[in-house]
Amino acid sequence: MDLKILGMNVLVALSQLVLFLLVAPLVTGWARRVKAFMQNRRGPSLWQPYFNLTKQLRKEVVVSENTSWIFRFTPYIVFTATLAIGLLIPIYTSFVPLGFIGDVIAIIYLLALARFFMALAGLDAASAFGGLGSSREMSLAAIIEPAMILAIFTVAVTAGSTSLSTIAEKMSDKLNGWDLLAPSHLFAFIGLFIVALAETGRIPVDNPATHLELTMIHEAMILEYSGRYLALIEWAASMKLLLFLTLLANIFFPWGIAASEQPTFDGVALGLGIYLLKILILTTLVAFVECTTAKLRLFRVPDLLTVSFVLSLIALVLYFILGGGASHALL
Amino acid sequence: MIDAQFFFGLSLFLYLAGAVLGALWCLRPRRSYYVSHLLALAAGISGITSSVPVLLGQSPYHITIPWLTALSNVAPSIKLFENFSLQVDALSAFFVFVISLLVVPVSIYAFGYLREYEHKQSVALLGVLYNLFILSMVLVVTANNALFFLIVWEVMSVVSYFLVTFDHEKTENTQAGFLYIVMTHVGTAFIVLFFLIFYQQAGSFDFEAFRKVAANLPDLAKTLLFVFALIGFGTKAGLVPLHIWLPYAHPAAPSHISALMSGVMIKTAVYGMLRIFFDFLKPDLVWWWGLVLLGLASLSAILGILYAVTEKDLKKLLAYSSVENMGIILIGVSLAMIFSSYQTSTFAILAAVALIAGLYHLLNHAVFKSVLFLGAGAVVSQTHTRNIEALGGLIKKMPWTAACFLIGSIAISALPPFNGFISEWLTFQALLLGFNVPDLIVKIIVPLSAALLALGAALATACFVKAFGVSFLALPRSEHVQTAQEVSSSMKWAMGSLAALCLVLGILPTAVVRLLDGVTGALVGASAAASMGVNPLTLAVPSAKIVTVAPLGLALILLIVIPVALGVAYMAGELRTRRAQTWGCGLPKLSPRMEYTATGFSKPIQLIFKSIYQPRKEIEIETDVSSYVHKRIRYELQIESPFEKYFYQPVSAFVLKISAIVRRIQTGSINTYLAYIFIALVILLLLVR
Amino acid sequence: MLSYSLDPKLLNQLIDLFAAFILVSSFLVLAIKRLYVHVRLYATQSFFLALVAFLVAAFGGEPHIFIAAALTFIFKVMLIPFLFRRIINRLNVQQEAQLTLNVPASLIVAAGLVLGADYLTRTILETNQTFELSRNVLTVSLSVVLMGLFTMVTRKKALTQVIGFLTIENGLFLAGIAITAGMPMIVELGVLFDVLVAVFIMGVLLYRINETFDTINVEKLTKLKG
Repeated sequence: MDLKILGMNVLVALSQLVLFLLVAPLVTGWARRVKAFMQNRRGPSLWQPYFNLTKQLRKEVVVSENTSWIFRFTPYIVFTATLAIGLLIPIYTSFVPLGFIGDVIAIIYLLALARFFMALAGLDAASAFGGLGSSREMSLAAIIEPAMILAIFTVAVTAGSTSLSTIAEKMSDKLNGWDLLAPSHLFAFIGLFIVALAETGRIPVDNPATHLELTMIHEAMILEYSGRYLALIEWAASMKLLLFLTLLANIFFPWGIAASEQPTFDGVALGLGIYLLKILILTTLVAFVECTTAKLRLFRVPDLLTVSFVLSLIALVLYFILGGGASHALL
Repeated sequence: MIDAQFFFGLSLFLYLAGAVLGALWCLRPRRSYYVSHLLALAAGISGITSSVPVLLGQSPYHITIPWLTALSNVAPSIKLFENFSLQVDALSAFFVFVISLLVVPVSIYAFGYLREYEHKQSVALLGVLYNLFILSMVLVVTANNALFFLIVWEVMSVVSYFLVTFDHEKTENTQAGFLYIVMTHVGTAFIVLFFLIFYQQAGSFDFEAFRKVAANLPDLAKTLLFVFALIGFGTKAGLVPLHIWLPYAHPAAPSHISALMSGVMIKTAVYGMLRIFFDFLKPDLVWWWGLVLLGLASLSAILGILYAVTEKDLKKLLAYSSVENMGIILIGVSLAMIFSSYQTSTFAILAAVALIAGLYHLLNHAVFKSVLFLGAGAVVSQTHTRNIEALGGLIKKMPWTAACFLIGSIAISALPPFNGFISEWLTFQALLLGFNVPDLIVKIIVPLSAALLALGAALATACFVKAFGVSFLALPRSEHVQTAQEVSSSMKWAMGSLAALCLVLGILPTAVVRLLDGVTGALVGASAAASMGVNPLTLAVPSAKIVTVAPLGLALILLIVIPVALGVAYMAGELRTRRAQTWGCGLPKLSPRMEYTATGFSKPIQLIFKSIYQPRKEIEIETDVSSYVHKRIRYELQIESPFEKYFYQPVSAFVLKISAIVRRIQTGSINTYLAYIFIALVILLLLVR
Repeated sequence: MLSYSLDPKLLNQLIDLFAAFILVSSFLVLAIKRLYVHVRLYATQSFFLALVAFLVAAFGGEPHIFIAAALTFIFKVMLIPFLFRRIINRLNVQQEAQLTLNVPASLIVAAGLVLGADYLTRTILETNQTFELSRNVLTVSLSVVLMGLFTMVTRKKALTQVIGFLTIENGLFLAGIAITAGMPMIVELGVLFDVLVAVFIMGVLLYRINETFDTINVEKLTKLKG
């Protein structure tokens, strides 16, 4: 019996890893597809990100002679840290076998670890572009993080914990009533959505499809990378996008998630199907925002993030003002 | 039978012996230096041995100093000298542990660091001061009598002043020392006032008497006690706005002393606060005390790091980041104060969690800040500059130092799996527990404080990307770097062991929590270790739904996933790697002048937080033929601290004005002075009759 | 009479939600600098205000509020924004509003205002716990009033200040609905026409200011003191 549960858990964990790894480029592909459709373009194939990755993996690597081991080490750290998060978040079951290892704060700091090394690698090649990218990335990250923490706190107070399994489970309980309409829920969603756009370098903040030195942030940092290193970094970027969409889906719309410690086959299959559908819809939303807004000037980005920050703060305050305040006790 | 008490006495004796022998051998400076540091090393090891048993539950012990007792017998009428004893309880033991833990590697480092000061005449003095400095810190955290506490506190301040001005050839160092000694005495004055009020209530300077009288203090006295303690110890802790001395004083001292100053000396202020608020005044705690401290601590956390980000002086940057980290430590402490003020058993557990968060961060900061200061010392000893704009490319010349500095940077940026992460995680959890407090204002301040903490953490990451990236990576920016070599093996090992400690403290949190449990048990009366250590590797926080983190697991899954990354990367087999030049925008060769500078790196942050920095910019453009052809552009940027501008400058101007008035009676002529004395005498005689 | 019934929990939830939108539109006025968007935000805010009024009228058993809701919709959602757009087009003003306080700072101050408003309503209502619905809405309306004032204080363009003024009026209207289930009809009508007239007068004033100074920056008015 114990062995069976263990086997099940190992299976769930492994499937999460594989799912996270393999679905991520598809999400990027779908986002590009939707954008192309909205801009009346034909657009590349849905599978183009996979083609890109395999192509890059087969190309020779050019490394700058000014760089140190940090430059060669970074792609692995970035890829590993991002992929490891895939083991920590609920994807289609609310119970995460390895969830005890890290909560949502740990996830934020794992992302920060990846960013730390990426920024160092940007400085390592001694080119002005890399430094520019690192500087901008770190500055924006500094204002993204408080907004993110505040949004997370709102959710955590509602659920009574920062553990993502607990949050997903509690939220799917709560959503049976009218709580989905609760303003705090909605504001926290908008706050976290803005954070997600900023963290994954999407349009109002950064443009993933440009190499224009005046505007780029993330792309400037990785300008010196090529071959398999570039493949790893781009794959990690796709996974980061998927990660944020998954967080949004499972925290704010946790319908259909398989919510027990020993999920049935049907429950898991249903959970998986609904999960993919939710990701599809959220990706479309991201692409829609990208098509309908203009990229902000770098020094206007703080304004946007302050909106996110204030929304999250209000969400938290509203949570106490409105009825939920009575049942919030964490003890 | 050799017990903890013996080792404690031994370590005190060894520090004293180090100071005395060092002074005796001052004519053979090298030998004196080695002997005194060797004795300090032994004293450190003995100090660790003496403190761990108490932390693990052995009962506290007293030590009386024989000659002081003898003194009190000579003059029995002076009640003040009644009880000059030392007490090592769990709280004291923890601080003795932290001090000793740092003394060991720092003393080892000092052996190699000697070369930096060999040409100086006063190397022997450095060893003597070093021992006295540590001895005074150990005595501060173990003193059991207010008067004795004040004496050793003053010794600590004065000795550290001498250490700050050790390189007194540079005027900036003497200025830093002056600012330091002024500020520290302002702080001490408030601590004296604090103890005087307590003395007035208790009738004795003994700590035991303080504890007895605490429960029935009048309200006014309580409030005064809080304010005086906050200002007095806040000055030492570098709490904003009393922090202004810290960024000048810490960098001025020799680097291994800076490590001790940032690592432990400023923490003696935390000791003072804990002793006062949780040992003496625990029944009197009011929730707004904690709230005031929480506000100031959050402010320190954010302002400290904001100034660190724009700093170009490597050691000053580290000093400013100490202000931030003291803020984080005090966030934990202040939350514990808020929770404790409700005086119920449930809140006591929350207080224990918050206190553990603060103490854990205290330990962590001591460790990683020492790595960073020692690393900075190694860099400065090789390049003779603290300006990071002049560094660069050091990772190739000093790989070991670079690796240690990198680990220190990762740890201080609170990134897993190193130790900074786990204590910041605990601080966030403690803040989240703050929502249980019934007072609405607390509930509103808590998320703001969490947001400031997150902002501080993210800025710290940016700050240390800058510090490490600009000084160690890319191309050398000046000839200072050309001659740099890896430092001697004693320095390497000292830094390496501390870096390893960063990892160990990061992945074995439950062991650390067990060490801290005795302290929280004594201070807030609740044990959290049982509920926090689910199993040896998983740290939990007791809330409605338990939340856990397992840093070792985190490290392990990173290790497990690495093969996946390698597998992906080498899917198409081993391919050719080509070395090439970095693209220099079409120019033939990339020069260091094209690199991003430290100022450039922090410019966006400086622009975003313009209203806080209030920068003063001066741009001068010299034109040649026409106004479109620039011959030379001079750009100067100065960041002014609002506290200095709006508080300290008016105050010092006021003092100067008063002095100018007073100067009128100071004629400098001896006859006039004698006349003053004569007049005073006559008046006194008339009055007393 | 109306006999529809609605789950009271849902009704409350909906009113809270719309009140929250009203709050957010006030925030966005502070966050966004484009004048056109300010007008659109004002229209949106009024739209949600009308919705709240409609809900209270339909399900709170106060049918006379229907008229107020309808008037709000006609005047504030359609007429006043229309007038504003005309003014902007006619004056051909620069699109960006100028600020005396930057956006993040004013947003954070505004958040502080909300917290303050919350604290105030809590202490006011501590003694009087009779109404269930009103506290959140009262907090929101007080915040909206404060933020409207704040907008007027920190923005330099006269047009934005008018928006701030109108926002204050919206806040008061919301408070009226929330607390007393509507003020007497005549008061509401009076206020509405007052606002309309105010907009007309301000429009005329704006033309004057613009003619005299070639801008609608109120900074320039300091020159008038001679």
